[in-house]
Amino acid sequence: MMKLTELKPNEKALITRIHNAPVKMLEMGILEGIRVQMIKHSPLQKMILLRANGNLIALPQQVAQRVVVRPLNEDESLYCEKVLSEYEEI
Amino acid sequence: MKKYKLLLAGNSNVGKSTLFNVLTGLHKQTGNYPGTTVTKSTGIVKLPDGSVAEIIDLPGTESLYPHSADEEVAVKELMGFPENADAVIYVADIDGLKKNLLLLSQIIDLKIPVLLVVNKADKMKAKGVEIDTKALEKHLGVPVVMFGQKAFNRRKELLQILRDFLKNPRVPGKDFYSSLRLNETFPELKSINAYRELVKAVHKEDLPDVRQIIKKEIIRRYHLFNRFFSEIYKRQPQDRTDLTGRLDRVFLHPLWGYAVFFTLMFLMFQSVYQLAEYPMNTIDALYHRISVWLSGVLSGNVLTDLLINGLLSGIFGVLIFVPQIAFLFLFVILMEKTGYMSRVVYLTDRWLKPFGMSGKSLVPLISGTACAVPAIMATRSIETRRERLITMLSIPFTTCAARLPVYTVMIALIIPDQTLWGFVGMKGLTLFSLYVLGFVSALITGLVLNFRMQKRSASPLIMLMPDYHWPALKDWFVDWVDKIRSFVFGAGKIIVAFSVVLWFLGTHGPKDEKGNPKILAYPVALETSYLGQFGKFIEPAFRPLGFDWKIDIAVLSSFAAREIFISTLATIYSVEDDHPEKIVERLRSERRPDGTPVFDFATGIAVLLFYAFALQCMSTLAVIRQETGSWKYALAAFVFMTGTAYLVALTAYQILA
Repeated sequence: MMKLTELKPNEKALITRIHNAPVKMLEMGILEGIRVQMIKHSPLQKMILLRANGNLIALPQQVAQRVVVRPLNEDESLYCEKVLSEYEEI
Repeated sequence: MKKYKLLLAGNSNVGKSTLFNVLTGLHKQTGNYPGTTVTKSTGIVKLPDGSVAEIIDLPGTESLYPHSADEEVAVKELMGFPENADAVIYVADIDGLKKNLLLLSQIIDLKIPVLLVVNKADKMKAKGVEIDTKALEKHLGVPVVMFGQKAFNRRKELLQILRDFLKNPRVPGKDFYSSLRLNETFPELKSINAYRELVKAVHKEDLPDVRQIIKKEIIRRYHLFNRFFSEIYKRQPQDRTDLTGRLDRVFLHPLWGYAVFFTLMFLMFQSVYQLAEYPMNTIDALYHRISVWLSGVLSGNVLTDLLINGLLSGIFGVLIFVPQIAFLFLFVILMEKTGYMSRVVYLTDRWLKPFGMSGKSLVPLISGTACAVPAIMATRSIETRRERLITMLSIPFTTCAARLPVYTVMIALIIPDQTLWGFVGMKGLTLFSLYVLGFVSALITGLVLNFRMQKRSASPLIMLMPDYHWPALKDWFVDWVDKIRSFVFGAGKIIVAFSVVLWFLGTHGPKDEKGNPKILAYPVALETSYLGQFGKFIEPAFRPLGFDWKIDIAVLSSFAAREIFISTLATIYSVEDDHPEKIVERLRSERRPDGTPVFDFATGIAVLLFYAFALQCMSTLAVIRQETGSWKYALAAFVFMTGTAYLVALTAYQILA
């Protein structure tokens, strides 16, 4: 388990917990149980860029720090549908 | 024939405006929603059976729970069904289809007939996306149309689909709300059976713990989508060397990203500042030709004067801005439509937040250094009302091109031709300082307004970055023409009216040539006109700034445009040749009754500072009025800026004199 901000570029992970999620982030489809891919860290702008649900999404670091993830290896990421079902009802 | 009313809804960045442009073409009108700064685009479409549909392009919104004034407007329109509309056209795109379902499912739960248009469908193959439209229709209970870049050629087909849909608009057969089982989690929702009631209660904040309810609703909607989404949507894993990824490696680079942006800004600035000068000179020359020709063929009476120096000069005063607006929006629309603007926001938002502005404020601010009028129009892309207002009110402080003639003449008058440390020219340094002063005061204004203006809860920048995409030429062209047209017929009307009023005040006076009192005496010299009388009347107020009544008159008439300050001084001092050097020479020799020069150092500095701050430009006022939809902000900006100008010039003169 690690913070979303600790992922390396291109690394894929499963979101396991979001502390105090902003509504806007949920609207963008970033929820517990989804798979994300880190694209880029921009420390200068205090932002991160990630892919989720096929969209490229920019998040402030400060928000991304509240997101807990479990890194996925290549095999696991193929079975993301299965992993998702674990989170069917939160 | 029936006239249908349709709302075009969707998330931001799904290509809603492209569909709107396809459907309505140049038959669109932009204005403001009453009492707001939110831009409203409406268009009329003639359907194949002869009936007519009015389409309203709603601001993009993510859900029915708005975060900004623009989203509020969109939600209000949607909640107004069935009184204000017959149906909704919902735009989604292939990349973010799942995300787009959120608002769509909410609209479905409001029991509004919906036609779903899935945009960018032509990119499906390239992106490895497959969408089963039949399954999509089954799970959502709404008709689905796929639509792509070539849609401009498919307009007829689209209209046919639209007509078939409108003939029998059916309320969607699905109800997501009951499946969310929110009332099991939140007992306070027991009495709420329809989704519409829940949304109303949330908007009124009638419920305890509103945010928890909203969050749960969103999460559960996504879980419902997950149940069927794999059935309708398949995406082949792509290697990540896609175009967007490769471009972002440069455009979002901590060094190259800014280099690309500032190069682009430099090109934009050059074209607005320099390329636009050629058509502007042509327009100016055309005005002179027409006015000479008209005064030749018409008899020299008051009507001819009104026509040439009031009406025609006003109309050409509007046209003169068109090249600058055209060049600026060439860039701005392209930046918006390609998706590059989101990258600019990503790069610059953090630096502009302390000034109450957004990453989208930088382009307008920089273009304000050419002219505030197109720059203020460019703030339209800023989504949140507060950030847009702050940007609009800060822009007029930046040193626009029209201040330059005033600056050059005054600097020539009062700054000695010396160099500092052997290579820095004092004159150039003064001009440079004035540019810096302009930019710094714009930022300080932002800082002050950010501190003073009521703030909603600060929302973090959570933003969708659209994939790069090259817009269809026609799509881009329609928006471009619309921008120019909305200036000419919006702010343009006000500018012409101002011009006529200024002409009247400058040519009519309370006394005729012989000094006999006569109401509306015409023609009179500028000095004895109402404007001249007013200049003399306010002299006591401006004497502490070192201005005499002649300067006051020049200041008053330069409200038409700042550069008129110089030509008015030339008129008052009857300098035949309006060459700047001749004017400087004449002004230098002008003495006060006590023998000291009128334009001494202190007065010169006071004039410079006054022009640096004062909102001496009716066109800027007109465009603020047009863009905010009320005179309130235009007047506030005028009072604030001219007040600051007065105080700063006063202080400077009192210290220096």
